[in-house]
Formats: sequence, structure tokens, C-alpha cells
Amino acid sequence: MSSKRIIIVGAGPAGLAAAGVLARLGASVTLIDKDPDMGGHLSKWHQLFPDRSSAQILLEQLVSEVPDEVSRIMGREVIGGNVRTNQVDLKLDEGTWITGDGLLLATGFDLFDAHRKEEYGYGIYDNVYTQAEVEQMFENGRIENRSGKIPQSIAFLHCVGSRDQKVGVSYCSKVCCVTGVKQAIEMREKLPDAIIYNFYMDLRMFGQGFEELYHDAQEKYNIRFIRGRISEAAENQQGKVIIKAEDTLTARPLKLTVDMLILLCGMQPSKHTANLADTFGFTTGPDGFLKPLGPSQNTFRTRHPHVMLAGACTGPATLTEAIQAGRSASLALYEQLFNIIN
Amino acid sequence: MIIEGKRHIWKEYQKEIADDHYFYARSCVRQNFFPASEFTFLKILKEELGKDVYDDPRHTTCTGIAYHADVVQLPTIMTVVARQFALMTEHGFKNFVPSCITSFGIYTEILETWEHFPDTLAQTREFLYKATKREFELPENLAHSSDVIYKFREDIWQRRRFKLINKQTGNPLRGVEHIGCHYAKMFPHKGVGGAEYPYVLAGLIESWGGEVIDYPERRHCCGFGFRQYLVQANRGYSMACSQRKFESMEPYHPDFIVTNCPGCPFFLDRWQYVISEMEGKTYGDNGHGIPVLTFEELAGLILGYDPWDLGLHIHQVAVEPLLDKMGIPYDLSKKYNNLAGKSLGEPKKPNTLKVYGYEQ
Repeated sequence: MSSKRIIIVGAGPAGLAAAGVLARLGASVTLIDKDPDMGGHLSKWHQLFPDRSSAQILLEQLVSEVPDEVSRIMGREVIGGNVRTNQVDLKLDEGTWITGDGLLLATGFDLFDAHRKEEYGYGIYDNVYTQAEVEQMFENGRIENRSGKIPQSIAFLHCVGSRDQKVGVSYCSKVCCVTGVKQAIEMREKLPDAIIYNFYMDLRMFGQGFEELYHDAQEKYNIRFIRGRISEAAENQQGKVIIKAEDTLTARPLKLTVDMLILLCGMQPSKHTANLADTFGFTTGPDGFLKPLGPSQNTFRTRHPHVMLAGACTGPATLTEAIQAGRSASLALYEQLFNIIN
Repeated sequence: MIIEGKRHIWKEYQKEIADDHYFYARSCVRQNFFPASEFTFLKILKEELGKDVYDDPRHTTCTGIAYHADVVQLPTIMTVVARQFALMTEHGFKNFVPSCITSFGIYTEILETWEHFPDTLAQTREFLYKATKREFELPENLAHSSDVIYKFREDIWQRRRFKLINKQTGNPLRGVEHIGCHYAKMFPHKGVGGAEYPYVLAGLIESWGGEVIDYPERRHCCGFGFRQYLVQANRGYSMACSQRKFESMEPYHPDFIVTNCPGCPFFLDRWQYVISEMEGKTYGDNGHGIPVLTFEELAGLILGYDPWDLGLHIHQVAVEPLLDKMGIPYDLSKKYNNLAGKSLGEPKKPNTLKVYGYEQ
């Protein structure tokens, strides 16, 4: 049994995966998260792409892999600290300090704030939603608009706060494409008679099973894909959403009235990640996410050998990638600490 | 509609508006379209609010329309704008207030350009000096005249004689606010309330007792769109744009439209007449049109100015339905008199659009 004390900041998928590995290796692990519950965004999700498996079951599996002896400090935010040779001191918002031999940051992402795309009217028009809110609807088993009616027409809009220089986000968030396809299929299953649109500029179906899901959406689920971004949304007297777009394949402007507009928002560095980057002087990339030492090798490492990065704090990531990163970074950190001490 | 969402955005887009000592730059077209509006602006600021405003007869067009029509090049318009600033500087003013939205957009765009490209500013100074021997300072504050009225909207309300409330029913009058495209669509942070949900005119309606209508085609262009009208062959498109807006706002039964641009009130007013002649369609109550006002005209009504002194008889769409709702008295026998009390002659009666002063 090692006496290495390792602090993991962030109890989302990457942090939980890392905590499980490190604890099984015998390290003394402290897991900190600003939220009172573990799981991060995963805890708010219903089904996962591409296999439609349960988010809650995955979360339970990840949590179950974290032994009881892992110390959990939930609902506390790291607000300061020092990284010294072979030691890390973190200050929590309650004023206490904790010390470790190593640090693994898994502080994740924030969903792009849809309010910033003012032209879509999120937070102003009654029936404009984000994909996170739709997951909650799926989880609750009720798809209805703000006035309690079952929608008959639904439009998903891809790339909200992704690849959009107007809001200072030039990078691709990579998971929104397949999320939109998956959610459209779920909608079709719940609402067999509804008209369901996906507005996209291109669909980046890079993962195993993603492209097949996209084809199923068209062929089996009658989802209408329109290549064109929505230029603006407005609300009519019935609370429906009127959208304007250009169908770039037919080169024609388009005006549609739908019961729900769902914005597929991208990922952005979490405020917590940005604060910690400032606190510890970590390098960030042009996208604002934490930048590891190397793009191919050393993808978990920082300039401090005993501080590692994992998951979506380094950039948009799928769940698979976040979990893999958590496990890999924890092994790298353990190896690093073992080599330093011995 | 979630009004709190709008209020959140309005808080984000606030701008500094000087509270006195304005150099006023008139519009080259508004004095023809709505001749009393600029006079009313000066009257409100000078006589009602006691502000120091300089209205320099030597200032010229900003050449904005020609610039947007590709007739005038950027170095030329910059030099013309520099001359306006030189006049401001010569008179010791630092707060520049244009009457025209296009001018406001031009001034905003050029000041931004000069900030990011100092060499261009230096070149413009050189051009101006060579041409006129004038020099200039940049304005410390640039605000559109509707910004200034917005700033003093509560002061105007305190001096009110009439409200945007239906005198018969006691209900708020419902107003469409139409913002000129060049107000904030290029630089959202230069407009009160930003580009998507501007507050500069909505704030006037709210403060003066009315209710703001948000309708689906609110953001759409009035139809002027420069080339849409300046190129004669495109004028059908110009009218189609206005018609799209009327069709969209009609179900909300607006009592009036208020605007802050030279072209918008002109086209929203005149095209209602043309549409009525072409299609027999009217958008107001009982065969009337929807009255279209400039923000100065609306402020003048609140302050109790005589409707004909405000130039409301120049409008194509009769404003009397709005005056009746507000309880504002008017003398139809004097509607078409000039300031000396002499009759200007009545315009020909429209075939469809109802107007007052004729047998209906």
C-alpha cells in the first residue's frame, strides 16, 4: 500500500474513472467537486450515443468503481493553491487547505451559454431549449412545451456556440452532431407523428456507430436533415417558434414554424477550469481549454510532473474519451509519483 | 415571451449618453420626409430640458446614402465626416448627436475604423487639411438623437400632457418599435439594448405608458434597404419587405409604429397607402392604416404639442385614430394649413385607405 496522497479535482466521468484506478492501485485519493453530487454532466443525461445505453447505469458503474476509502469533498470549490516540487496545496472555498503529493485535474466543461446567441431567443422565447433540457425531458418521460402541450414539430439546430467566430468559438465541440441525431431519434420514438428537423452545416460522425445512427435517423426514423444554419428565431402569438434559415442544398431561403427549437450547444472551458488555470498558471490553448504538454505524447502532462490533466478540461471530448483519459492520466500520475519517490 | 430574458439583455447593452452640450448633425432627408421632427428634437432639448445644443447650418450630408450605393468611396466619406467633427471642434463641443440612423452607423463605423487603423485617421486628417485647412478632435461621446430622447424619457414623462393609454378603455396603447438597421446591427454595443432586442424605442413606449409589441418580423428591414428603393427596378421588393412586416404585426393590432430612422417611417407610412391602392388591403382599424411616427413626433405628442405643428398632416396614413385614443384634441380645419395659417391645399383622397377630413 502506497502512502501517496493524490487529489482529484472534478468528480465527472474522467475524475471518477481516475479515482477508481488510483484507489485500486493503493493511492490515498481525495476527490473534490464543486457540485454536491458526483457525475458532472453525466448525472443530468438520459441516454448515451450511439448505443442508447442508460447514462445513469454508466454513472452508477463509475461510482461503484470508486472504493469507500476514497475521501470525497463534495460541494466545495478549489479557489486557490500552490504547486510546489513534489507537493500540491489547494485552498477550498470554505477556507481550509488540503495537501497532496500529486494532482489530477478533471474539471470538465460548461455547456455553451445559449443566451449568447441572442438571435435564437433562448431565455426569451418560451419554446427554445438546449439539448441538456431535452435530456431532462427524456429522463422525466414527458415531452411537452412550456404550456404543457405535446409538440408536433421540432427543430434541432447544430453548432450553437461551435465553429462560430461571431461568439469567439472557432473550434468544433464534436459531440453535438451525434447528440442531435440521437435526440431526434428519441423524439421520433416518443412522438411518432411529429415533424422533426435537424439543421446542420455538416455532420461530423467520427465515432464507431455514429454514421450508422445518422443513416438510421434518415431511413428508419424519418428525421428531416436540412443543410443550413438558422439565422434567427422569433415567436408568434401562439408561442410557436418561427425560424428562418437557408437550405443550402436547394439554395433557397426557408421559413418554418415549429413547436420547439432545440439548440445543440457546444462545450466551452468551465469557469472552474479557467479559474484554476489562472491560479496555477497553467497554459491554455486558443480555445481556452487547458493545454497539455504535447498534442500526441504527454497529452495528460503539465509542466509540473506531478500534475496531470484529464477529460474535457483539455477540450471537447466524448464520454469514452473522458473515461479513457481519466484512467490513462491516473496511471501516468501514479507512475510519475512512484518514480519520484523511489 | 419571457420579459425577464429581455431585461437581462437590456442590462448588458447600456451605453454612455452625454447629458448636455450636444453638437447636432441633421439628416439630409428627414427634413423632407418629416419636416418637424428635427425641429421638435431641438425644441424638446432646448426649451423643455434646457440643454445646450448647437445646430450648425454649415454641416453637410454625411454622404452615407451615396456610400452605401457605392457612389462615394471610403476615403471621401471619412473626409466628409472629419469635416463634421471639425465643425464640432471649432464650436467647442465634444458630444456629437446625429439625427440620422445611417449617419450614426457611418460615424460609428468610421470611429471604430480609426481606432483600429490609426494610419487611416492620419490620412483623413491630411485629406481634410489639404481640402479645407480644418483640423478636428474625435467626439468624446457619440449618441443618436433617439438615444438622447431615451436618456431623458422620464424627464419628458414628468412634463407629459398625454399618455400612451387609451382614454376610452384605460388600457395601454400597443406600439410597434422599429429600429433602423444601422443603429446597432453592425455594432450591437453602440445601441441601447443591443441589436437583437433593442430597447431604445421600447424604453420610450414603456416609460410613456404604452405596451410594446414583439411580432415575428420585428427585425426585418422596413423595405428601404437603399438599393431596394434607390434602384427603381427593385422597388417592388422594397414594398414586399414592408408588406411582410405589416402582415406580421397586424394580428397584434398595433395602435402605432414608432421609428428612429429617416427611411423607416417614410416607407412604413407611404407603402401602406400604395398597398391599399394596389390590393385594397389596410392594416389599421376600420379601414385606416397603422399610424407611423418618428420618435420626436411621439415625444411631441406626449408633451402636448399641436399635431399639425409636429407635421403629422404630412403623413400618408392618418394619425387621427391614435390622437383620438390618446385624447389629443386637433382641428381638422387647420390640418393642411401652413405655419402662417394659409391653406396648403388638400391632398387627393385615397381610394381605399381611410383618412380624416373627407367624407368617408
